[in-house]
Amino acid sequence: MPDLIDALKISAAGMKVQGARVLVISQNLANQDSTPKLPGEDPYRRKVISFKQVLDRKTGLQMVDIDRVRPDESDFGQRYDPGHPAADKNGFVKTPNVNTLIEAADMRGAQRSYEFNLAAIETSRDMINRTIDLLRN
Amino acid sequence: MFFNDIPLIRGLGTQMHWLNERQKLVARNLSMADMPGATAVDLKPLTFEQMVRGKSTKQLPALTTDPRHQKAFIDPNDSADTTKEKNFAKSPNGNSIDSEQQLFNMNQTAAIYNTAVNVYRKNIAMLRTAIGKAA
Repeated sequence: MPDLIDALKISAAGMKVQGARVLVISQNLANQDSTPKLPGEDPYRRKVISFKQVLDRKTGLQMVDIDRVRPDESDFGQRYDPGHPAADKNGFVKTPNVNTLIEAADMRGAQRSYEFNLAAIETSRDMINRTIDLLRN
Repeated sequence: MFFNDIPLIRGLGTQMHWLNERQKLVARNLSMADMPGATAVDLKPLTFEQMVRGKSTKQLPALTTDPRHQKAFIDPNDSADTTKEKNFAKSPNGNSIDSEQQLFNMNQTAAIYNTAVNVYRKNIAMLRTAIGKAA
């Protein structure tokens, strides 16, 4: 039974990191149109999350955790909008390096992984309940 | 008479312990399904001899005698009881965990566990009948 409790903890850690992943994706999607205020300034830069394996010293378990949230160093886009306050002398405004298609696919992946961890929790919980049920008769 | 002296009960207990350990590894694999460089690990199959002897794993964690002691850590990537799953499909970040395979393993584990619990329950019911205390 302690192994199943450990399994619950591991799956919960998996759900936590996927939740953080969704948070970063939501941030990217919300800022997909965040242009700069003045010419020469940079717009919103896309953020990327990565995971790492950590040893939880209290329980002796290998858990997944957030490694870091780093900026995506790819190039910004450009849009011709001479009336924009941040337009350069040629009339172009820098746009964020956020691609909604990539974010949507990433969101789908996070959702899928979250569901897998949830399914693992449900199975572990059912196994615990089956064991406890042995006491009933 | 102790329950563990009955070979069937002892065997079922060993198998249930093995399945608990396996479920822990499946949960670990699923939680690391998006981690760069992660590889899936699984327990080596439980042999009949292990079941009869009542030992589901070779490597046992050190006993902690005080709640302030740190728990012993057995690395599933490098243990006598585990194997690394081979998967030809690897994502660009080096992750080779196949989530579908893990779901299959999880359902298989749950099904065998349910069977073991039911056999255990029936065996106890039979013992109760034998001593005239049937429900």
